[in-house]
Amino acid sequence: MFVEKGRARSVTAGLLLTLLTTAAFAQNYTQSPTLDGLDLPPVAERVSANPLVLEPVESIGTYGGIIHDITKANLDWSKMILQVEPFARWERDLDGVRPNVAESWEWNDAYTELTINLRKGVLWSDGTPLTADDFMFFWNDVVLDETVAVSFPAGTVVNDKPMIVEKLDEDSLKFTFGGPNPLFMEMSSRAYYNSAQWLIPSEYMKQFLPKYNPAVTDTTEFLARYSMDSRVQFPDMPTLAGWRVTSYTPGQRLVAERNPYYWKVDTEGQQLPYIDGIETTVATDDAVGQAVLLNAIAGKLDFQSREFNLSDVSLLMDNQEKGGYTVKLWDRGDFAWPWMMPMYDYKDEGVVDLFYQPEFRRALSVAMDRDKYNNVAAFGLAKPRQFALSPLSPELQTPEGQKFYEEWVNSYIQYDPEQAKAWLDEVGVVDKDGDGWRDKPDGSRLQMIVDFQSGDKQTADIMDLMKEDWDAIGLETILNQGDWSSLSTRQNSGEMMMRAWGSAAGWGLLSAATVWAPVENVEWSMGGMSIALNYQSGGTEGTPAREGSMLERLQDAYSVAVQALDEDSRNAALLAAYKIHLDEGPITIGTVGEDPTPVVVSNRLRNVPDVGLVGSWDMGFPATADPEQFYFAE
Amino acid sequence: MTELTVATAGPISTAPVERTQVLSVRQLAFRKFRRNRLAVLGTVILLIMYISAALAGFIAPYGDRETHSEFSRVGPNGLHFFDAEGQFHLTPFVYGLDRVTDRATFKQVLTVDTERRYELRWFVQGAPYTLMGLIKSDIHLFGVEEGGKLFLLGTDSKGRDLFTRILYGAQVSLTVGLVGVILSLVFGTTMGLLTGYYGGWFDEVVQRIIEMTLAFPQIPLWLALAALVPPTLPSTQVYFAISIVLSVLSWGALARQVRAMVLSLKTSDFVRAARYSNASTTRIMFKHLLPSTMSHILVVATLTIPAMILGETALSFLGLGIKAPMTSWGLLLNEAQSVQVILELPWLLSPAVFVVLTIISFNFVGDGLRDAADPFSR
Amino acid sequence: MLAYTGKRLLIMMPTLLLIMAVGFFIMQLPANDYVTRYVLQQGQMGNSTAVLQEELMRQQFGLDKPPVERFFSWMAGFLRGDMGVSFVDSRPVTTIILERLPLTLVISALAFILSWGIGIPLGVYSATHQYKAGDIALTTVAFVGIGLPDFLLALFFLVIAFLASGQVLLGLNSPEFVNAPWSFARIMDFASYAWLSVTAVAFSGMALIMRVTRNNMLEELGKNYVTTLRAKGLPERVVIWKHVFRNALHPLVTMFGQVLAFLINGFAITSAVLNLPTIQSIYLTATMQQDVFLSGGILVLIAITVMLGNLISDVLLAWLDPRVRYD
Repeated sequence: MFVEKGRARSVTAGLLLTLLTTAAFAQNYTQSPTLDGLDLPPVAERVSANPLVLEPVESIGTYGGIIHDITKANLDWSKMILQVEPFARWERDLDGVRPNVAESWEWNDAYTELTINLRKGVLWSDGTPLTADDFMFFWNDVVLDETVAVSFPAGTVVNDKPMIVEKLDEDSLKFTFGGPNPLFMEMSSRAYYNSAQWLIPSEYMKQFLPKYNPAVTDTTEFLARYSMDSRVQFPDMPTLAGWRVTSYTPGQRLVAERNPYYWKVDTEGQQLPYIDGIETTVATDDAVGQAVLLNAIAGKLDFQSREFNLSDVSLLMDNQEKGGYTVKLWDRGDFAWPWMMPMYDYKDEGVVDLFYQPEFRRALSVAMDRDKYNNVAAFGLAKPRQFALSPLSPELQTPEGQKFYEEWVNSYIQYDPEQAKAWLDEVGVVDKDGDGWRDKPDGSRLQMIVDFQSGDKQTADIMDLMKEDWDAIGLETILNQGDWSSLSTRQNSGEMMMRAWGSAAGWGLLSAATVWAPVENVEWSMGGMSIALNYQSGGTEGTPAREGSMLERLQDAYSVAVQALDEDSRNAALLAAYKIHLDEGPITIGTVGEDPTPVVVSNRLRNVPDVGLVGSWDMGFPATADPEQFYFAE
Repeated sequence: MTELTVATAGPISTAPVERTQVLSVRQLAFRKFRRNRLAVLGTVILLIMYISAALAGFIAPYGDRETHSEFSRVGPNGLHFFDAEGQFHLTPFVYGLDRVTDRATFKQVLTVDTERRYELRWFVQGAPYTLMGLIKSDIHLFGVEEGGKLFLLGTDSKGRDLFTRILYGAQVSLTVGLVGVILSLVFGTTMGLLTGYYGGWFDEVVQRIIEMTLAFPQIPLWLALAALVPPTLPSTQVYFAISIVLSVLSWGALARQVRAMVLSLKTSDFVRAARYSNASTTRIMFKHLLPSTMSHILVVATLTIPAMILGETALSFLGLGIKAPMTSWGLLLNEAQSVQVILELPWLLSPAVFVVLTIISFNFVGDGLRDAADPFSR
Repeated sequence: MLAYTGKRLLIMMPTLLLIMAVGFFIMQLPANDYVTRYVLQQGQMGNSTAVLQEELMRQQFGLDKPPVERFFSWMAGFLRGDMGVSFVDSRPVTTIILERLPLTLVISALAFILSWGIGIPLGVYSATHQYKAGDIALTTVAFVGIGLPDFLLALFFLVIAFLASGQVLLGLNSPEFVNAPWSFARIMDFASYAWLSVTAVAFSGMALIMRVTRNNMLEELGKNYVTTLRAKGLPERVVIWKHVFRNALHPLVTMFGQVLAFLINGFAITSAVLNLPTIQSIYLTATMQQDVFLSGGILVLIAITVMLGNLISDVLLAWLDPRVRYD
């Protein structure tokens, strides 16, 4: 689906391009009244030769107004509004990607060569043109240059070979990959840390590189501007986004104003964005919870989807009228919060033996009273579910896929402690020494040690309840709450038996493929980091999955899926992999999930979609909801 | 003063002779203490707290891990003597409770059913517990009839009875800090006496060491300690160890204060007199100087114990304090520390009342002790 | 006295070095450094590509070198006046500290003045009216102040202020004044925010000071010279304030030594919870994130203030009490 849409898109885009180019000359563009009287070129010259036309969610908007919101000290919320201008942006319904800075792109048949056509005439916020030279500067003088600490970006290296970049003309680039790379456009559309970051204003940035400016001795200034985390501190740095940062007081406030050179318009030719600016208060991690709750109830927030907790929902709902806002419920997009990952690379082989047996895992699963977890930790608002990917995953969007999903998500979630005990007896996990706790088949002591990260209240609450349930069927359970560093040390050294992970979204191959197959050496890799490392290193490092086991077959299925060239074969491969989870699972165990996430929207703010995603950053929300077409109604 | 009549053996005098009782310093002090009503009140309260803590399993209506998940976040539903019609009942009772999640408003709505009444009962059978590690039982001092719920102070976010948790929390909060405090006091006082009395290079060295420990980066140290602790260690042991480490680091402040007092007392007459009478240094320090500093030390002691109770809240905040399944007042306060709680679940702040009460009691007792020990106080 | 002060100042140098060394190595103890945490955090949010930059980031921040080497280059930088940069936003540590210093000092100083300025007189009053209604009332209030952690009090005040006025008093200025130059309007705005944290912190501090003062006063009041002075016919006010109070000051003077450090390191958690742009809140964040230069720089500052504070209180003690000698 991804690729096919892309191809179809490039054709349609071509047609639209022709239409709109002619339309561009014929159409009158209008600008915000605040820009009248300023010393700027005419608006038709500023919106590029082929501006992107955004369909409004509800209605055509009017200019004016300021959005007030709150972000944490790491500015993630602001970054997701102000810095997400990749080659292509995700569709609002996440069904593929749509042209953004790139107006079209074409693949060759083998998916090894990609031609990207940048939108002609796009200008940076200081009026200088965006051209293929900007990207060539990025590739040659930043990525390829060993003196600059920037490595090959994700998706550009295939089969250990980095892509080769060619400039075809002022607005076109050709990427040649070391192997088929059909998901490149989707990969590079991820939030602000892929192609959005690669697009840098070369003229401005050259003055910070020793290569071009002998007065500069090191790359500190350059890297500070290149890094998306600190880019906001430099209001003089040109941007492509709808608003540019005009002032940033660290730890306190961020102010952004409209970018007069923005290259998107609405269907009536009004230059976007409608909204004049964004004023964001910055809060410490400890204060942000109070800040968003109190400010929301007081009616001081115009658009806020992050930093709320599920426990805030009832207060938010109560105060809607008084505060003049509406609470929309977006999706957290996760598939279970938390999900239990047995580590198949744990140092005790006896435990690993048990993990490899489906009955043991099923016993763990049906011993859980998920309704209780839901009531206590999620106010009864979440859903008990098995580990299964998000129902919004593209590969599950067929009737067959949906049916499969229903079966998968409901497998082994019934609360049946007697059955759990029976299964444990079956695999030989019984109390051999009479101390009241079950032991391993060889008689040695069995303790279920579950690690989870501190600071995650829902997980912590559920873990306490889960411990009671597992203790009740005779499995001595120990909970270990720790911070990232200590947990990741344990995980790396094979000291971790099981981890409860509060997931963010991801599906299929795109983000976190490693949640359903042990293929990436990261903390959230199912199966265990060492096993994933073994796959990633081609078998040279780490611990191999046991031969013929479901882990090995999942790794194989992943290899097949990742090399599939067209959507259908990819989806088929993914479904085949998921089937392994269903038949031999649960391999990773789910608890409850699909918590509704509150989004506070001022009653005066329009064009905000009712459906969206809050969880994973990869999908680019809220930028994907096109905040440039939000407007304030009077 | 009591009067005793002594019969004389001969005809010399039959008038009763007044004799005064001779009381030791300790006895004098004790009497003085007893007369101080506030101190006595404080002692009584503390005794009640410590005994309740020791008997927590018995007194609490529920077990320490018992959750009532359908009744999480419920406010106090107390005992009533008068029913809905105004009739008086000798045995108090609670009403039935029902809980529904309203998905439209995302609220969990609690309804009190005045039709159903559950009476208070004494010596009820409930969740099993172990008293002080020795006595196993499952009889609770009080409870309600089967089917009823008695939440004297409400429930928390997991549906655990708060009153029960406070009782169990007392066990940890009232004891864990004590060892550290005692260590810190003993060491700090001794060092203060020694450095103040001897002075010289010994004083300089110790002062610099104190400076180092006071300037020591506490927060990174706590985090480093937390990283080094094995996860299978129960959290009370972890906290115990941390509190000892912290006390070892905090003796410095007290030492400096004692030193200051010793410095000014060193040249006073009574000390000189003691030296001239060849009193040994130890005797001078402990029998003469120490009592003069005693009152300040007592005040510090009575202020440090609550500081340990509260210090635990700060550690909880950083993720280093007592963790579930153990309970402590610091943990309870930490859970209550959010805007949402203050606005919607204020009963969760009731542990603070107990903390304040404990502190007040310790202070009154400390005041009383100080007054009693000081022969010159009014 | 001058010689003594000079000697103390000299000894400060090696002590400071020792503190720096120990502090620096303590911060290396947790296994993961800033880069690893950063990558982990990014990964949690869904950005699994950050791990590709890991090695290069380490190089960029100099974290790939062995600890001893890093310590010496940090020290060398210090002597030049360069405290390094914060990894989070690549700004120099000196800039960050200096931009937060003024407001930190203002809030801390206000809290200190209030707590000592109110605590001492109240303590004296409490002592002179021992066990009367006033004393008991004050004592109870004091214990509420001591018994509740200051960040809980602050949260409480925050909610009350919110319910009463609809204002969310987080931070130290309304958003529109955050960057504005200091005008009368901004000062008023600042006051409307600052009272919250100052009151919460001062409340706890005042309770402590009050108790200590009361105790010391009671101690002195029992002494013979008080009876003598009264017998001489001196007005009670003179007896109390000119004689008894001066003698009761000693422990307070010793505690004064810690005030200097309190000015930049007190009420850290309250700062974080109320989103105050102070040094202690950034110290907390920097330490938890392993932003070593920033937290190391502030650590040194704290160490210096502790040592200076002790020196000041020792000198004050000697000045106040002629019986005290250091030689």
